[in-house]
Amino acid sequence: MPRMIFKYEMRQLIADRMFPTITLMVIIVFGFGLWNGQRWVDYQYQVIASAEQEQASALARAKAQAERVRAGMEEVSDWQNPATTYGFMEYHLVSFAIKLPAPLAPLAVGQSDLYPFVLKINTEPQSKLVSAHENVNVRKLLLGPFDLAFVSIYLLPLLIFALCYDVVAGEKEQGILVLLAAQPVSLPQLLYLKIGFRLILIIGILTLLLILISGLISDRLFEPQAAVQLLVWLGVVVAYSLFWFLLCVFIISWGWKSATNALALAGCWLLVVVLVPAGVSTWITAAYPLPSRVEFIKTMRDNQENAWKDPSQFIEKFLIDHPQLRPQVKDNGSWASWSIMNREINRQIQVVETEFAMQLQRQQHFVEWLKFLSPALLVHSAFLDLTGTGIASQREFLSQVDLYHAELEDYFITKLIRKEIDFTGYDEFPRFHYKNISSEKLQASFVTCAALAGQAFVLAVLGLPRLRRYPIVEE
Amino acid sequence: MTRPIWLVLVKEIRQMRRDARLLAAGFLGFLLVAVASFVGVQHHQIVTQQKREAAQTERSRWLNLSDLGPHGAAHFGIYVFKPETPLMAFDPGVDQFLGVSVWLEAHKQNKFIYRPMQDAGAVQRFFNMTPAAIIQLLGPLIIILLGFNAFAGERDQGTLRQLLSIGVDGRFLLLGKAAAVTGVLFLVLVPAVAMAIAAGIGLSADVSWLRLTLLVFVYCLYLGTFVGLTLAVTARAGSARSALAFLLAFWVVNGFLVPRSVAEIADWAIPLPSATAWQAGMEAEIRDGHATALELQVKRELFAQYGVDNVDALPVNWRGIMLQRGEEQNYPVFDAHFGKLFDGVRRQDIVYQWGGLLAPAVTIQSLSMGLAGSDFEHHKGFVRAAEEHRRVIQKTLNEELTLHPEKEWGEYSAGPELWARVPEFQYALPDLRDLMWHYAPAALILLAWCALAWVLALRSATTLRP
Amino acid sequence: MLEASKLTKRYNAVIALDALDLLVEPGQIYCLLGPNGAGKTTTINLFLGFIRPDGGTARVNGQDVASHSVETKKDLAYIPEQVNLYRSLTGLENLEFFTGLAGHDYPRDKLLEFLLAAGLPGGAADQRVGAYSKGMRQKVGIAIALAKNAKALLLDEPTSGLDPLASYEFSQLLRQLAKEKVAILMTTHDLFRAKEVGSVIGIMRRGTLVTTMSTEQFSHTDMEKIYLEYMK
Repeated sequence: MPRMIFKYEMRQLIADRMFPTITLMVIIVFGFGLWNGQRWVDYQYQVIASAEQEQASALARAKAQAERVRAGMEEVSDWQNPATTYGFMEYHLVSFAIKLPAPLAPLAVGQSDLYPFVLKINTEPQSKLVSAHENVNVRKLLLGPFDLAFVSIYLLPLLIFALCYDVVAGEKEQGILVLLAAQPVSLPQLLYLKIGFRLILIIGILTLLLILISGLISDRLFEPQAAVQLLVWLGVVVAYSLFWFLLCVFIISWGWKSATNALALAGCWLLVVVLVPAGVSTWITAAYPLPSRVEFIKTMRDNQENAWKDPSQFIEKFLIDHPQLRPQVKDNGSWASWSIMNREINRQIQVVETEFAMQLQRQQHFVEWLKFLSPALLVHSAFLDLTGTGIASQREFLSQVDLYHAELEDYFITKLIRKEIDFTGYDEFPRFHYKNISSEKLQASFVTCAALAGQAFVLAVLGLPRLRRYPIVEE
Repeated sequence: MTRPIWLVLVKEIRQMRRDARLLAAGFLGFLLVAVASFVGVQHHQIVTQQKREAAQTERSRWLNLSDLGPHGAAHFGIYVFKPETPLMAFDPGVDQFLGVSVWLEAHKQNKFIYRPMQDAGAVQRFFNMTPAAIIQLLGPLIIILLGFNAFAGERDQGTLRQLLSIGVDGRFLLLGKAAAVTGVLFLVLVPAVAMAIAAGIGLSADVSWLRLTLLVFVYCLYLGTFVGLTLAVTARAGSARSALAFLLAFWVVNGFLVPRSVAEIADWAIPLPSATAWQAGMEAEIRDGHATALELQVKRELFAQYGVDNVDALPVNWRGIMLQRGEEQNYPVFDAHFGKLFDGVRRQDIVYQWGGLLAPAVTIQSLSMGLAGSDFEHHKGFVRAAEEHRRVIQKTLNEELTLHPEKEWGEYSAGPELWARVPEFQYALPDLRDLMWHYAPAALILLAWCALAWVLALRSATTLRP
Repeated sequence: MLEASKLTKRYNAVIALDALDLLVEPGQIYCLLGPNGAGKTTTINLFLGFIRPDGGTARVNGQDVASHSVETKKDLAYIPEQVNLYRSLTGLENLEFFTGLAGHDYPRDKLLEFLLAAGLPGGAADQRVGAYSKGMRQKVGIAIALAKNAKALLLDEPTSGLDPLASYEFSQLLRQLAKEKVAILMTTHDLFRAKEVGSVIGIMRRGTLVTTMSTEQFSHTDMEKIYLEYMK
């Protein structure tokens, strides 16, 4: 019997042009979404390539100039001299910390258009890096990207509604339902078969899409866990679709007219993808306000003002931490004390910055729980995890940058204090290597799938008893 | 003459009042606008207060700077904060995506730092509930809910046949129904928005009434477009069901599909320079204000001018002149590079505005932000004002340094009377006329939408099928 | 065999069916007559399990409809007053679909035979139902009933809106089915048609069966008199 129902559902969907229309729309929106995501990834690689180019040519220039200076062919003031440690560090050092897009990055732009992925690191205060960002039109940031995540979260439910809103209800309106219900099939069974057929259709389309994506990212598919992530991504989308399909069943079970079903579904959609997220966001902003950056600037400036009034205190502080260097600093080198002062100011700002970040993190921790209020938020956060475009991945990147920054600073300051004035370590100073650890965090996505399936199950359980009493004829 | 319109209006309102679902939707709409307005005003109050205080602190920090060389003070610099306009409580626009402050220091034009959205999480970005966003998105939905049945429902019930057989002019029906929908809509929106605006105006007296009036006007055009379109569709549709399906689809296309698509297209058509490349390009052209070559050149010129052969004999401080010249030689570089970036954004915004041809939401978004002063154009104005102020600071300090010839670097220490000579930073909203040209496409397209919607509605109403 | 005992249905305060007792034996054509709102269609809906009884039972071949709604439908065929079908499918496809749901898997030839037996003109089978007249749809409905090979047949105003010839052919078909020991329950307003095809006529009023008579015992005029008597 399922075979018979599937066969005729297909025939009807084709006959009333629903199937071709929906397929065409799916191809257009999914294709456009994927194109946009891929475009953003391409752009990132382009920026990364130009940064690497800049880094290489800066180093080459410094080496060449150092060579000329050493040969006495060129004169240059001390603090610009690439042949000296201080000159190289202050004036010539260009080192980029680069966050490579994760293998699944074309599937969601996520927050990556908001965060920096290429950071120019030198011994300047790294607090500046916190507000670095890419040049993206702010209006585009406000509206959000048209990527596959947007298509899956916002548009996929609408396609599902278009397929499902008049199942059974439409048959009732056309007077066919009495003839259907007179056959030895229970109505819940019939409805589930019809909905199931549509679910299979959507899964089929998604699987085709998956194959397309695999082709698109084929060069990175064999990275550890990339293929698994892709399957988990499909799992999340299917679980999300299941939620919407069962919501359709739930709405249909009330026995309304198909226009009423459409309105009710539109209302639920608005609730899940717009109003609940808006409510959550408003609630967070009100209950856990972000620490103010304006206040932050004030604190930072207090520190700076303080430092300018009495720079020597910083050198003393540094020497308490590094007593073994005291004799060397004593017979000075003003470069060393200038660097130490900068370093200590940085450290103080960094303390404030860390405190700020902790406050943010507390807020986000709270958000983690609120996302269970809306399947859309759940799926969104799973997408960000899987594609490495969320705040967790960015935080990980920035902490790697912090470590690198400290490593770089230690390398140069130690040299300065030891009065190693001649610089030769062009090829040995520390370089940044990005370690992508987001791929190790799949549990969260499994929790998402489970939560979605749970929500869908609740809908199914709630809908079933009413479905058994579906009003076949108006009483 | 107007009696039929009045009768239809009364009948429609009566029917709406008896529809519990509509009442619930209307109440929900009211609640959302009210909450969004309340939250918007609160946030606006807090941020305004913070920025005002921070600006005052910075000013007194500057005035109380210890005795210091003028160039040292220039390096200490000043942070300026972008003020909130009162209408931002209604439409914060892209404000959350722009930095809150910029550091005005010697030698370089810095970028704005600390974009609130960069600190906020993904959820806050998902949908930011502002009064403007709620009205732009939910206003049309409420109109569709109120209006999709207007003609198609009567056609389904057969009452339309009855009405037409009496000989009522379709246009009267249309106007009556439009009046009913508009009336209910205003009942939902106006109290909440009015409260928000009143609260916003209460915050600061310098609200521009012209901007406010224009804002109300463009929203009326936008919502009016949807009233016209809804009635046109329902008058032509075969059934209430198909009218609803079509209108809901248009609502999604208008509110979600087109804005994002057009923004992507604009981004694709006019690529912006990447931050790293842009920065590197600018830095390559910036000439060093302390460079040895510049120092030698300035000294040579001064020696020639004053007929001396060493710096001790100069009546002016060559460092002051060198620093000022170093600043000035870079002004065109900053102007060109920032200008190039801003121009790219401007051209993208124009493409975006033309996207309004596909959906009216695009036009209202642009116009609303522009009038509220929360768009990129205003930000650009502020960036320019801040840079102008930076140049004033540099000029004041360097000229002071020039007047104090010293043998060695940094021996001259200036005090509070010099810091006080640097004027306090003032920023005024740009004149509306400057913005008018920028937003002309959006305004014209919105007008065209409204006119088209009503022409369609009137034509459908005169050729009603039973 | 269709059997109702103390079958009761209320809509809020209104009693639509009041402890109805009714028996349709195999081979019998039982016609329910009565004014609008007498409870005729409610009876049919209860036998189909479309609505739940508030008291009593409806049985099909001895099985309770309320507790065995799917099983009892295997033995039941139903032709509603207005036969509505999937407009985007052909008559043949509709027939195949509905009989498929009932668990039959007929070849095309056999399906065409049913349509022919129901009186659908030969060329129409492969046309979309959207282009059918009401009578043609009715005939597809009959074909579905025939193909189902049911032991009981429920008909709700089957001849309303059919032209005299079609009505005549329909009556012939019912007699044929009765001969094959199908129990037939039909509601109708048409006293004369009932007299012509029916074996038993029950007159309903306000949810109760006021009288039953065998069509062989009474003439048309007698029946009309009795009917009008009860309606007073």
